[in-house]
Amino acid sequence: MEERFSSQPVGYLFGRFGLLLVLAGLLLAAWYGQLVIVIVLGLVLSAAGISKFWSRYSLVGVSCERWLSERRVFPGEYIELRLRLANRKLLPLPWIQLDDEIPVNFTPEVSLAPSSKPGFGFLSKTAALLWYTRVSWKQRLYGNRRGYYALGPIVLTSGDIFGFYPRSVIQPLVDHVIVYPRIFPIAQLGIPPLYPIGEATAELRIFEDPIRVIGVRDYSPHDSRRRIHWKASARHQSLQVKVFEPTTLLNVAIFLVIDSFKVGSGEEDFELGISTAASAANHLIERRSSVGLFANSRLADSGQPVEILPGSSTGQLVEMLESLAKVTHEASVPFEKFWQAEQARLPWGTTLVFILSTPLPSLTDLLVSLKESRHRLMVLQVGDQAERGIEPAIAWHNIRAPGDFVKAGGETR
Amino acid sequence: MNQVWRKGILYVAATGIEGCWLYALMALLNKGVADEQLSISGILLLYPVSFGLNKMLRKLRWPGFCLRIISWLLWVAGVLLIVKIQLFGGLAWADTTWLLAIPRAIAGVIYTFKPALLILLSAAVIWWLGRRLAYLRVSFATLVGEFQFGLFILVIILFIAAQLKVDLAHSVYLIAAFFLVSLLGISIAHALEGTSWLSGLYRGHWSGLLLLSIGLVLILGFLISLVVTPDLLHLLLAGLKWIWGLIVKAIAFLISLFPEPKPELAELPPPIPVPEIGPSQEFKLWTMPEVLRNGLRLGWTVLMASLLVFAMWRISSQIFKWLRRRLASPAGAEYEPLRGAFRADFLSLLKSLLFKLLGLRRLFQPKARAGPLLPEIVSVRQIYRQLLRWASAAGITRHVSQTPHEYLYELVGKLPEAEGDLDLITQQYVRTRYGAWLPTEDEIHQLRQSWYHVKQCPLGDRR
Repeated sequence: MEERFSSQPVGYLFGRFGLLLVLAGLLLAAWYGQLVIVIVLGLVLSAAGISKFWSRYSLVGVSCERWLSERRVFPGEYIELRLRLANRKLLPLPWIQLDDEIPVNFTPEVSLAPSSKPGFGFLSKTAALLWYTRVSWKQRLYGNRRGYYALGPIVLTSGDIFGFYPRSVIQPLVDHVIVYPRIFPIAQLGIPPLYPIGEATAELRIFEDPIRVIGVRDYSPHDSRRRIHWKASARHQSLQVKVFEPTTLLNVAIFLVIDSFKVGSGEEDFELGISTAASAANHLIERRSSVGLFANSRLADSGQPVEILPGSSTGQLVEMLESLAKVTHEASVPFEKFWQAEQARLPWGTTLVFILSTPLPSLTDLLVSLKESRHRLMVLQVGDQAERGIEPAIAWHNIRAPGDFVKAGGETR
Repeated sequence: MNQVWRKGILYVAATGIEGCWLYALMALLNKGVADEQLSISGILLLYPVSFGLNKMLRKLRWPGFCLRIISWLLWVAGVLLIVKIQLFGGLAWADTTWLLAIPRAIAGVIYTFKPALLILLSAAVIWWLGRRLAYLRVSFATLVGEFQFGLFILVIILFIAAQLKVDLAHSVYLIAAFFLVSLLGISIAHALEGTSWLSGLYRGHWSGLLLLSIGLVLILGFLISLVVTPDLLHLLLAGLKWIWGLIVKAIAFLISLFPEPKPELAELPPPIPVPEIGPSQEFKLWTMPEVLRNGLRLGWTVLMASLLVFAMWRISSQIFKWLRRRLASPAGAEYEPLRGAFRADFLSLLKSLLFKLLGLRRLFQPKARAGPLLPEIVSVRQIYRQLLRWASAAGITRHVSQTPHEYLYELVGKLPEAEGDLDLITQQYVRTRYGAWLPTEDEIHQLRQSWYHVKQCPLGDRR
């Protein structure tokens, strides 16, 4: 984006036409020897000339910076915004106004000037800057709502000391802030711990790495004799077995069915659905499961759907949370089509978790067919429970309304 | 500087602007109608009185019509008082002749325009203006409007005075006062609408700068009036005529180059008379007129005096520096000087001047030719240039301050699926442009493939 200047004179007299008239009047008056009128019109031209010159060079050598303490926050956390303006020239600026376009909900205690972009306002700061001086302001921004927000551009307006010729420049300084979705403890969401694996038992270690011993425990009759730790048994004078580090327990793919959420009225359900996806992903990553995320949404930055293949690293969780922060209500493609494209990319044996609001008949059919083809799957339905399409064979859970989180008063992040 | 005082300045400015043109109008009418019998200042005193009384009345919060009636009753009292003082000063208060002066003046308006009638009309206008000001919220826009309107009226009054050959006393001072008050009021009103120089640090500096600016406006305005004289205009016109004459001659010469439709060789055309330009005329063009010389001399003196005043003010302001710092209320803003920035800029300016001088010298030296680039390097650069053009067409222009890697970061943000291809193109370009690296045929082929893939991405839809 290029810098764009604009200048609009104040009053009809200081416009181009007005000044031409004044000049014509001055020449006529001078021709006829009307000295007093020449003085009056000469003073007008003089005032206009000095003001115009001052205004023309007011924004030369002016630089602006925005500094953010954080670019990624959880809801309720704050970011420290620092705006700095420097005048690097000899011409002083008797007034300069800085307007930074920021989301309205970022500054609940400060009233913002209206902006043409819905949901945004201008954070205005004004100052007077002498030669080779800079000024800085601090402002706290609160990330209260999940989202991917753009801060900027910045509009700088300055001019002459009389204010006859204000001059503006749009500085293409744009920064992005990510407010992650709220993460709730899984129990609070109404899902039993480790239940997302479907039919698997909670504490069962399916695969273990036999070369990574993480401890010993007492022998039980069900243990294999190959696992007995003979040296430890000798030391303890009782049979001890080795405990191996579990390898990845699960491959879970979380599917957020965007087109099942109602646009407009179902905004709370939508946010709850996203929080559910984030909480489930966080819960599984904490338990070293391999988790992926898929959503047929148009992301706020790229316009692409979310396609994160299962993984278990901490970076994987960050990537998923960032994607969930950017998820919009707009569906990229119908979910059935999205599923067709994505299912081939999933590893064999992946547990499928579907998060949806109002299941469409076609979606219910899809779920039934998946179940019949012996996929391990689970459905987390968000919002109105009366509308849910219960299929007895499928593990189907309802997520409580957002008010329940408050009542529960559980841990949130 | 508290808020009440600041608002007071705005009202003073508005009163001053209106007072100036009212004074000029009254002076014209006084000379034209009342033979300078009236004291204009005495009548103009009604303006602040009207403003003050109406301001007080406004605070009473009575019904509007009551306030209006009281206000106009006060006006009647004021008019009678002025008539008594200005026209019947020697008469006793008990004598009712002065009370009947206005009715008599109205009755005899067909035959003669008496001074009492002028007092009545001017007092009505002045009282109305004072009342209007009392109910007005004076802002920057109001003062700009007042300034423009006042200027228009002032020019008309001066024009009429010139046509009627009425000499308005102190008209130049009046004009200077009008501009001084207007510019002062407008700039203060503008400053009050935001948190600017009036409420920040260094208020002394800013006040001085404002006065200096107004001083400059006045000096320049008067210089213009000194320079733009009938003599100068006549001189300019003569110059234009001379240039026009040259153009006509040139056109005539060009026309003469074309052959005549029917050339008659028998008779030679008479020679075209060439206008003689005397040496005195040519000399006049390069002579500075006496008026201009005087004007410049005056301007120079005034400029020097202003600089002297400015220097004195600057020294005295340093003494009160600590006081200014104490009074500062920057409302969360932290000011700090850019230390070393001026020196750096100055050195940079000197350096650029030096380089320009060296560049001038190089103009006269034979140019050292850069060796031709290898075709592999040309290919890589060409592909990168094509990428730049393509991205620029979609609105992602590479800024001069951006490095290729910074630009890559921006591009990848818009085009994440082409990250690998963009990275390859940029890396190859950086290596060939800034390093001694020569790409192989395969690498160039791969680069072309990448560029082809990038081109397939719909970048135009991502904005």
